[in-house]
Amino acid sequence: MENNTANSVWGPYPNYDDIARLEYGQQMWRHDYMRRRLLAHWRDERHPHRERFAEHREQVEMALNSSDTDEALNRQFLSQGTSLRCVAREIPPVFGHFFAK
Amino acid sequence: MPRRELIHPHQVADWLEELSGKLTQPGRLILIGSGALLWHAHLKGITDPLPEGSMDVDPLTDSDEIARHCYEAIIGTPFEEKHGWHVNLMPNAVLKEFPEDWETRATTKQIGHLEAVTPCPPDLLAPKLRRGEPRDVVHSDWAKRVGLLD
Repeated sequence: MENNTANSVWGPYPNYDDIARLEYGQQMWRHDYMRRRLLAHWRDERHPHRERFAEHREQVEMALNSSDTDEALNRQFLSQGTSLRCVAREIPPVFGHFFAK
Repeated sequence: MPRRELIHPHQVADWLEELSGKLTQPGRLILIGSGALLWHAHLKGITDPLPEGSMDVDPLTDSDEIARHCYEAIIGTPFEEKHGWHVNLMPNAVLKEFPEDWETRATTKQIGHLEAVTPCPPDLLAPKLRRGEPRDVVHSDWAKRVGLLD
């Protein structure tokens, strides 16, 4: 990723945890088994971000389904009044103690 | 509970061997952070433990198979329960914290299907020293003392 592109999307102080959830979330989303597993995990009653995920699910799934560059995806989100940076923040984390197989 | 941080060079080597044994196809992993310093130490036959141990290793990968195995070792998994530390996948963007030509000085080791790449110790220490937290300084001092910068 070019630095100027990265800066335009993620800002001068990127949050690597957010970017990692997007990057590896997209990787895992391509596999039916992992996609189903992540969805079940994020909708699990024990997941503290369950309600946030339900609220932002459409945009989170749009980000995870995308094979566009971060810059192109960001442009799409900007046209919707948000940004890739904001959507990535809404990708829930994975907690290993109930990430059921 | 016994103290089970990531402090010994062989712990990283054991994990990479374990990961390699699970792979069905070739994949590349870039290891950064203190886990990478421990891997360099292992490759040089150094056994001195890392002071101010770490609770995780920080790999990057573009391999779906490796990433999937890393998900089975994130915080809270049976892997963490067993080892006392976990795997924290890092994004590609973090590599911009290293000098631009870090790959020309990196170490690559093939372990079965796994290609393990690590920036050289001075490159690994560059972002740590920029951050300058006490633990980072301790890790830098350790790297000098055990001969990783020779």
